[in-house]
Amino acid sequence: MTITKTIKISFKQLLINRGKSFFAIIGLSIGIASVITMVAIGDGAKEETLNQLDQLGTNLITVNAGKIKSVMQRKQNTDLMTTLKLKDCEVILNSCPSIKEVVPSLEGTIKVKYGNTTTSSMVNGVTTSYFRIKNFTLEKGELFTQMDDKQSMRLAVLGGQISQTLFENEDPIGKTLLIGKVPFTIIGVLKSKGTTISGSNLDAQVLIPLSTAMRRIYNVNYLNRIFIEVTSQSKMKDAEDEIVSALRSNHRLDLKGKENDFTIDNQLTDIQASESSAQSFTWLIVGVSAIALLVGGIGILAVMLLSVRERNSEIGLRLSVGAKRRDIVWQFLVESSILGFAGGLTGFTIGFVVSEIIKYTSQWHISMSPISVVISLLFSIFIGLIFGVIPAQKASRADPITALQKE
Amino acid sequence: MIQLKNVSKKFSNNGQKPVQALKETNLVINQGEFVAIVGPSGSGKSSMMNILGMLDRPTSGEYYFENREINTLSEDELASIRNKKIGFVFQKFHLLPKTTALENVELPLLYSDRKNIRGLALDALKQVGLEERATHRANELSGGQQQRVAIARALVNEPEIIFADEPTGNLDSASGQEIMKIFQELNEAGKTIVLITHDLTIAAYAKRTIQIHDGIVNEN
Repeated sequence: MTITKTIKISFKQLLINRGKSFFAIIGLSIGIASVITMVAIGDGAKEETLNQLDQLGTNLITVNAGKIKSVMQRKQNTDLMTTLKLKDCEVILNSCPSIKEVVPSLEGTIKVKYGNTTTSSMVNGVTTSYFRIKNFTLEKGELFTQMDDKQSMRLAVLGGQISQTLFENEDPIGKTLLIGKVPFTIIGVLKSKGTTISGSNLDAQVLIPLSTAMRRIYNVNYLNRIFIEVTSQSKMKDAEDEIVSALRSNHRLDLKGKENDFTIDNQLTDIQASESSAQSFTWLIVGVSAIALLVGGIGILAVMLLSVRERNSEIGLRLSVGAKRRDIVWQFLVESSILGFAGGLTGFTIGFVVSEIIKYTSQWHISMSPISVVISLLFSIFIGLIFGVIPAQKASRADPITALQKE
Repeated sequence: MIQLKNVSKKFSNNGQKPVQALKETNLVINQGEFVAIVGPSGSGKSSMMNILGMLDRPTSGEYYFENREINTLSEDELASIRNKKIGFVFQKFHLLPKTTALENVELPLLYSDRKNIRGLALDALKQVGLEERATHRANELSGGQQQRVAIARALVNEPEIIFADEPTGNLDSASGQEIMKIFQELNEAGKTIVLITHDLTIAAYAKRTIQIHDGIVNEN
């Protein structure tokens, strides 16, 4: 018998037994729907994390003065170290071959005031390369230059959020901002980037030239951190080793037999950590999906077994009018595959709708990849086929004489 | 056309004493005959029909169908003979419920390689005078009409022989007579018909009667 005839017969029989078909489809579709939704949420979370990491800048290593401790997942300096100096930047740039760019940074929390509005803000002194290596883009205005830094100009670039807090709908460009008691001219506003996965809000900071920060605001000669851009991602580990050895030698730590007075934060480690947690989440999804699909498959198995039992006389009749045993096997296999496919399609529709609802009612990032949809549809046909094997074999083994007597 | 040589059929049921349903049966049925196999319940007539219709194989002896010994044929070959050369009519009609008369008649054609399935099925329904009921579901038809659909199904592949097992058993006498008339007409048109019945008045429609009792065949 041709496959088209088999499909036609199977469709017809499923329609005749539509009540049972419905339950088999619902069982599997709930499984598929939960898989589709979970994968969409999982992929979305993964994409979001990688996006956030990307926003931090690519191939970035941060050298922090002193020790860094994670408190409630936020990285904080635990003790003040004044050993990180501008000289270290030079040494790193000159002695580490895997390094492309070095950005010294000095930051602190200080009161800023515009008009009648005063707020406490992170004021960060950086060199002009900071904006490029941290992937900041301008919303309006301009950035300060190397020359401005050399001349310790009182110029400020605002993060998106602090600009909103102080100026609301007013245009901040050209306005004067008091940082502590020092007046600064605002020359630019940055596009918002949101909160990083480590918890720091990059949009709430005021950025000023480094030399201005060191001389006019904080009046110190040390740095909090140095941002270092590495030539390529494959050199991240090499770069870290080079930096450690350059700093230890420059700080004469080896001679004194001391521990590092700085902490290295390698972004690759962060990416790998988040990728590995994403991986665990993926395994969780795979596990739950396997159970959901197994339950769906068992639903199909139960319905098909029941169907074989109830349709014994039909099977006997088909055999007596000339159906070969393999025709019966194929008929039942095709029936269960159709159930699988229908379950998959219904499940996809439900999963899609649920994902969309979640997307619009929560802040979650949802990402539905066409590949996962195709895979789950193919897989549901496969499940139908696999769980149809036992019923199909049972059906084909029927003895036509007994089957015809059973009615 | 059909020849049984010393055919026996034994059933053994879970260690119970084996039942001998047919004993050393010899029988010849020629093309174009209308034969009634008559016997009381449990006489072995159903076993006879199952073997003749190739739904079952004899325990011993030889069965020649158109000069081919069926014991040498595979299950697929038997299925193919059932499809092309044999038509069955059962006491309980055995129509697929919730399926139209036409689709029921089409059933044997689905397992053959013949084209124009719909047209052939309609022709068969015409032969039994039911073309107007083609789109009715089987369960919407009367007993007599259902049996006529079953006859159309048996005819649709233009078989050499039709086996009818108590075809009037579930019908009132008027419908029964109608059905028997159809068989008579079919026989007159050249079809070989083997009728299994316990009812002698029904058997009287046949041209030849074979009695069966305790698995032993006696020809009148």
